[in-house]
Formats: sequence, structure tokens, C-alpha cells
Amino acid sequence: MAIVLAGAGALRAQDASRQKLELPKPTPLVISKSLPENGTLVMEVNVGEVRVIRGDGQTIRLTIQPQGFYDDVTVQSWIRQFEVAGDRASIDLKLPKENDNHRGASVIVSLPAQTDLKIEMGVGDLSIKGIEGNKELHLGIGDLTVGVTDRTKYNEIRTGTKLGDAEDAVSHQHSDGFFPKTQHTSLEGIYKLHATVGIGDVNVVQD
Amino acid sequence: MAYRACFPLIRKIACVLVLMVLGAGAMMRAEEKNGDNINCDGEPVTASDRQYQQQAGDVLEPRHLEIIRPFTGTGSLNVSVCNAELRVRAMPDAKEIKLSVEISDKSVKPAADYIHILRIAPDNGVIHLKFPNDSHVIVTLTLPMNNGLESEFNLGKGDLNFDAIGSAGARQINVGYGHAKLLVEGDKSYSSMEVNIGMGSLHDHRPGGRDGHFVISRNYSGTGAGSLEVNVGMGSLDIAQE
Repeated sequence: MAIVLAGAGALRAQDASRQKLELPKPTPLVISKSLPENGTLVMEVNVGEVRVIRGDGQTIRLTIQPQGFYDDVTVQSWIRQFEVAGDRASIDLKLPKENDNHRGASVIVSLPAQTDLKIEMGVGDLSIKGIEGNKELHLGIGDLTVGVTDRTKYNEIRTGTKLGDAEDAVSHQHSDGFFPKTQHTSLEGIYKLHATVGIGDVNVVQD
Repeated sequence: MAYRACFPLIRKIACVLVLMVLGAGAMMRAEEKNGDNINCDGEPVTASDRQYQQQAGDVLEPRHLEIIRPFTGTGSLNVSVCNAELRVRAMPDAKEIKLSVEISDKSVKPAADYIHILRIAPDNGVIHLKFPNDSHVIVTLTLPMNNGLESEFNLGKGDLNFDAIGSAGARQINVGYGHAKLLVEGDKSYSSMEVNIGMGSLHDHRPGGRDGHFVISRNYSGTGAGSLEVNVGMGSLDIAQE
């Protein structure tokens, strides 16, 4: 019994020392700017994992989480553009990819709840959650997921991919194979949502 | 650690593409809700599903098809092919679109049985061909591609040879699994070009061109007309010039 207890104690001590040995995480780069409600975000990203979420108040916050250890100057250099002019924000990111693919980055953009989106992305995963407004989204290769809080605010929801699945769970439509698409139109609503993917899946989900 | 932290994105893309493309028969089975969807199950198209009206002059031989239709090179064009070697050649002065198919396998059904949709008006074309997985088929398209044309060329599995010289308009190319070769005239074949490769390699043979490997996303500016978007899920892309 004493041996068992001693063993358990040793294991706890080992766990504690393991926790102490946990490597530090790379520090994220966070930049915030003012952006009024009902503004527009125009964004281009080459590769990575991008999440666009609802933030607090009239602020656009760009968070880049490197997944390797880079100096600040390097991480800053990935931001080709981050500007706000009036009610229009522009972001252009060139995240690391080739020759060192295992050290990419993930990106979070938080926005005012009512913001129009125009996003073009090359390869990766793009998700939108909690943002109301017109949406023009295109992803070359990967998965695109768009959340819709209130379907009645959209007079048109169109999704399409050339090879993969297109699903609009909000309008209960699904299509797959080559050239799948979904389309929902309504006399109600003021917004349009167009989400397309070259190769991969596109999903509209309930927020 | 960094390797392990970032690897899931690449692994996920690779897995999704493998499932999507290699498992073509199951994954690419289209629901019948959308009549324009193409079902890549490798089976011949039933007469009731085929959207093709034979016209005088159409050559429908068991291993060879040749079909010509008037086409202005403006409007829209959607070409989707399940499995083949697809060759696309822009002919700026042409007034028609010419489709030819050569099947070298003797085991497959007559070539016309694999036409799902061939519906071409002068300013609107849809061509869907669904050849079996293990067949060796060469599909050649020659057509005018002018300003004002929105065109898509989708190839599930196989090799694509796209001669963009003399072409214009918004052109999108998607190759699920295979090798693509894009022939351009320096930077004169587009005003902007976007190249995305989910898993594979890029070889830009133009002077000063940069190669790339694994996950690739590149943007190019050009001096020509129209946009080009090339997506290769898994495979390689060669960009060459005359």
C-alpha cells in the first residue's frame, strides 16, 4: 500500500514537473482600429485558418496567432495592408506558406455585429460567425463555413463549389458532386449572402 | 511542436481532397435535385438523364466524337469532366466551339453514352462528360474565349492542358486530382491570375518564375484582359510560355 501511495505521489510530482516544462506559445499580434457599425470589410488572405467573429462595439481587431516562433518584424510583415478609411476596412495578409508550411498562422478578425464582408482567400479554412450584413465570400481550396443568425434578414443566400459539398442548413438545401450549389431567395430581408469555393465544401449554418 | 501545431491544416486538406477526389464514385454522387450536377459514378448516362440533342454533322463513333456548335466566345461556359485528359485551346477568331473525344479503351461503352450534358447556345454553353475512372480518354475543346466570357473548366481527375494564349474573360480552372499545364504568353494572357494548390507543387517555367510546394496560393498581375483562377486540389501545376 505504501509503495502504491509513494508511486502515486511520484507520478503527481512528475506531472507537475511536466506542466512546468510545457513550452511557451508564440505571442499573438493584436491590432485594433475603430470601425463604425454598417461598415464594410474587404479582406484578402493567401493561406491559413481565418475566423471572422462578432466583437464588442465599433472596433475591428486583427489577431494573428503564429504557430511558430517569429520575431515581431516578421509577423508584422505578413500584414500587407490593414487600414480603415471611413466605414471601409481593408486587410491584405500574406501568411507564411511555402518551404516552411508547418509554421503558418491562424487569424481572428473581430468586427462590429453589422458589417458587410467581401473576403477572398486562397487555400485554407474560412469561417464567419455572428456577423450580419451582405457577404461576398470566395475560397479557392478548403472549407468555408458561414453562420447566419436570422435567415429572414437575407433575401438571397447562394452557395456553390466546383467539386465538393454545398450545404445551406438554414434553408435546408444540400448538393454535392461536381458543380453543386444551393440557392434560397426571399422577398424578405435586406442582405445577400454569396459564398463560393473552388474545390472544397461550403456550409451555411445557423449561428 | 510548431510542426505538430500547424500540421492539421495540411493533413485536413489532404484528407478531404483524397476522400473527395479518389473516392469519386461515392463522394461525387450528385443528388438528383440539381439536374446540372454531374454524377461521377463511372456508369454511362441513361437516356432519360442525357441532355444532348444530336444535330446533323455530329460524329458519334464508338471511340470518337466530334461535335461543333456556333459559339461567340462571350456569355458563359461551364465544362465539367469526371476523368480524362482535357485539352483546352483558345482560338480567338473562331465562331464556334469544337469538342472532340478520343477513347483508347475498348472495354468502355460508346463515347456518346458518357455525355451527360451538351447544351450549347451561341452565348451559353454547358458540357458535362462523365467517363469511367480507369478509362483513357482525351477530350479536346477549341473555342473562342473573348472579353465578356465567364468560363469554368472543372476536371475531377486527370491531366489538364490549358492553352490560354489568345483567351480573355473570367476563366476559372479546377482540377481535383491530377496535373495541370497552363500555357500563357508571359503576363499577357491575364490581368490578374490566382493560383491555389491544396497539396502539391507549382512549377513556373517563365523567366523569373518561382516554384512552390505543399500548400500554395499565389497572385499575379498581368497586362492582358480578364482574370484567371487555377485551383488544383492535389497534384501539380506547370505554368509555361511559348
